[in-house]
Amino acid sequence: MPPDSPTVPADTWSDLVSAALVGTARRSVPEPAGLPEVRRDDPALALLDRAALAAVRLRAGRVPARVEPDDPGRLPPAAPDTAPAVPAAAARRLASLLEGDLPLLREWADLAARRGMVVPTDLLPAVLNRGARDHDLGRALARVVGERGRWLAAVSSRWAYLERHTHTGEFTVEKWRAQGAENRRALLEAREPLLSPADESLLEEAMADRSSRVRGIALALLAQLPDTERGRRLADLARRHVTLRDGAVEISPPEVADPDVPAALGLSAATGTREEIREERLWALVTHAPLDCWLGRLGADPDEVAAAASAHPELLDTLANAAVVQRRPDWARALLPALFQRLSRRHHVRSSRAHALVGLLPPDDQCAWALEHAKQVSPGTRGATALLSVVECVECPWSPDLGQIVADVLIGAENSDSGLAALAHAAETRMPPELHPRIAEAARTRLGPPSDQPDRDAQRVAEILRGLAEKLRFRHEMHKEFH
Amino acid sequence: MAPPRFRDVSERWTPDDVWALAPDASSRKAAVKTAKPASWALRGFRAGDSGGGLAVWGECSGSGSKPYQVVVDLAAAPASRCSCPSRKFPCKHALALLYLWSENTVDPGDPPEWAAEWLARREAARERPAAEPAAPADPEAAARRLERREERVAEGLAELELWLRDQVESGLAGAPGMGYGELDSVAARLVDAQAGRLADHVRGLSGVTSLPDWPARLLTEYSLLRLLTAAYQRREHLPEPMRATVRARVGLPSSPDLSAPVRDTWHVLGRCDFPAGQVRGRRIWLRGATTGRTAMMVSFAPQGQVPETPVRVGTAVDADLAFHPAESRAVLVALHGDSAAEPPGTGADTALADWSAALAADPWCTAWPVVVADAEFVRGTPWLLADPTGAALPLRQDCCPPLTAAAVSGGAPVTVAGEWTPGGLRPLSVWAPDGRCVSLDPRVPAGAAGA
Repeated sequence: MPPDSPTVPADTWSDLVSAALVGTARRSVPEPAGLPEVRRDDPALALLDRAALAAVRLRAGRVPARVEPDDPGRLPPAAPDTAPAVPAAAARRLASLLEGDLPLLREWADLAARRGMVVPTDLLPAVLNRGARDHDLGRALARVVGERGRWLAAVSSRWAYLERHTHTGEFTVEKWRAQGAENRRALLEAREPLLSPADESLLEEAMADRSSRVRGIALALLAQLPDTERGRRLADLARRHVTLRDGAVEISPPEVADPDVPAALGLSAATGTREEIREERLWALVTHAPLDCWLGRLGADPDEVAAAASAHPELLDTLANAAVVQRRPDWARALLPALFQRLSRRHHVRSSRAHALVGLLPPDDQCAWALEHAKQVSPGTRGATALLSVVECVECPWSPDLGQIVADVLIGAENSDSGLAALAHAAETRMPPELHPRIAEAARTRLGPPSDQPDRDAQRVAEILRGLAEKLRFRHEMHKEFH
Repeated sequence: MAPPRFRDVSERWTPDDVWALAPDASSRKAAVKTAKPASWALRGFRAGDSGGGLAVWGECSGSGSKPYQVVVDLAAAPASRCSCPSRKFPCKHALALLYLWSENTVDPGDPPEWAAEWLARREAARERPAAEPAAPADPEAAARRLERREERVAEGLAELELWLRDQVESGLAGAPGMGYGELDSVAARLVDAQAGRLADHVRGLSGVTSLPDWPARLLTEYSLLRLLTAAYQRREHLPEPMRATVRARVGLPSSPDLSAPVRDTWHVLGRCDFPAGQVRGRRIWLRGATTGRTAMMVSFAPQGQVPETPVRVGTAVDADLAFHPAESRAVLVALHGDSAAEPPGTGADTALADWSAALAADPWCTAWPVVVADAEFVRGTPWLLADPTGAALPLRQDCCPPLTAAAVSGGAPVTVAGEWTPGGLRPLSVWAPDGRCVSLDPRVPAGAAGA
């Protein structure tokens, strides 16, 4: 149809619609101008025929809309992505992982991030949607969405969370104050890697926030901040109550009437017996007093402090807690031997701070620490159970040496070893995946030659090993796709 | 005529080709798990140039004592058989086997007896139509059958027209209370009259009254149905192309003209899946680089299975296509080669002028392919696709926001292929600034009555 041909005027069409709604039994059929004449004896058919002409002309007569050069809906051009996209096979794997396993997805993101690679642009909406559903995963995926991912998150408000993970937005105290409680919390949390002493006043303000979750994160961040006024006040107080006399640590919990401790910690009214209140305040104080305040007081270095404290299990635990809260790997390293020695005898590693302390160390140190302890585990009776208490703390990918030891123990473990299933489970996501043929082979030999009366325990263990081998094989494929 | 060749027989598939066959994401996931070489004690393939057609086979150990036997015939459109009980097609074993093969972990060899037997049967079936003349054995009987069917359709359409007339006479205001039942019985009578396609269309109208502007939409649909019944009554007086269109829209069968295939370099613009009664349909739009001709390949498969997809979106295929007499519908007769290629595009004005021309040939047309070059996605309600002059095509509501397409564009001008529909543009594929094509694979929601 030539562009200058007349289109159907809107009222012509709406006249026809009105007549059709009421029905030709009660309303005469409009004869719109500009349409070819339609003669029918039956008014209903006449209406339908006129409507058909009008409808097709409306459809055929569509003309484009106009968008001005300065239309606010125009998208800003994305900055070029210098990072390469992941190989095609890895992209396909990602697409199949998006609805599935969380640890695998996180491992995929780590593999890509370590190589400085980014998600292909067409998968970005699905990846950003997945990250929006899970906070930690969102943080992992934020590292691999690249420049284009950040650009896309700015295009659609549903992915505002990405800004918090990537620190692209400019942070000002005024902007922070204007946010709702959930965003105030999230923005503070996102500050963690960028904390500096200049943040102390902001965090002090946040300590008085209406929302308890904001106060909680502010307290956690303040504890990580070195050289603060608050830290110096707490250090002075703490050293009054924990002292060294004649080579032995002396502990004197603060009096309930002492107003300094609750004031410095910002504690609210206490409940419980006198003794409980005194204990609770002491441990809160030690947890938040900067750990370095003990140097020169309880010992010359963290190792000496840990040795001096080991006579007091509660103090040792609280110092461990302080190392976790204040994110101090050096103190974690010093406290771990004493803590682990005490705990491994009672197999309470999971419930202690040892788990969290190991997590503070860099991955290489975590594996080295575990390797040292693992070497003392004999692969025989209940070897898997003993090893489990060591390696379950190590949540980072295991080094080849550590993986080998775990594989040895798994392969040599007795069928009755109750820790075997849990050890295999821990290994699924952390063991170097190229060990899968060894595990698969062990699963086959575990069953032995076919017999009339298969050993139920051996079958169960073979199934566990086969499951582990399968998971490792899958991960191995995934790793290879990045090469 | 030689049996159709769907791809160069020496070509090994890529994993992407394999996954394109997966009926859904879960079967693909299951196939990845199944595709471990250790589970496949036996696996082999026969190259296409070694006598028989290209085929892959294998035995996969499952939970039972007997391994599953699976064989895939790739000589024409992919077909497979597996001894597993899965009702998905292809099953995860067939997909896993093809995946292993695409990854070069399957060695050439001779098929075992169980595979060879099935392959031979298929081969024989393929040869038969080529060996016999295309015409039916008794042309007179066939003509009589067709005539009887046309009469039955005419009776069904007369009944439909009467029903439409009654609706308009008593007023559409009562339509929302009419319910599914009445439209369904109208549709059932059309099925009896062997106007199946029209029956599906009428059944789809039941959703229209839930839309905000339903009176206008319903009148549009009813009036176009009346246009079709009137045109069918006058079919003997219509010029041939329009008569063929009317017959196709009603649902009478047609066949491609194999005697005059059109060879061209066909840009594969995009694809779109749509519900069609109890089955799933897929249309693929192509446009000839030299002829400028538009072609639509349509295939159907039961729910849960993948319609045949003989060409890949984003490529240009040097191929012979045979056309049906209407709707630009075509089938692939021979494929001589393919390569990745970006199609040439136009502005928004030309795109809509093309659409008008398509409507002139087929007023019932509800989707026509357009390619816009240097196009930008613009936020709004709805989103728009703007050409460099600022002329813009509004997107369909069910395609907003077009986040995948926007992500691929990065705000830069890109080539976009889509379907223009009365409800706006449905983007089908985007060529990134670096030339990579992303197929958006949209699905037409059920019950939206086409527009």
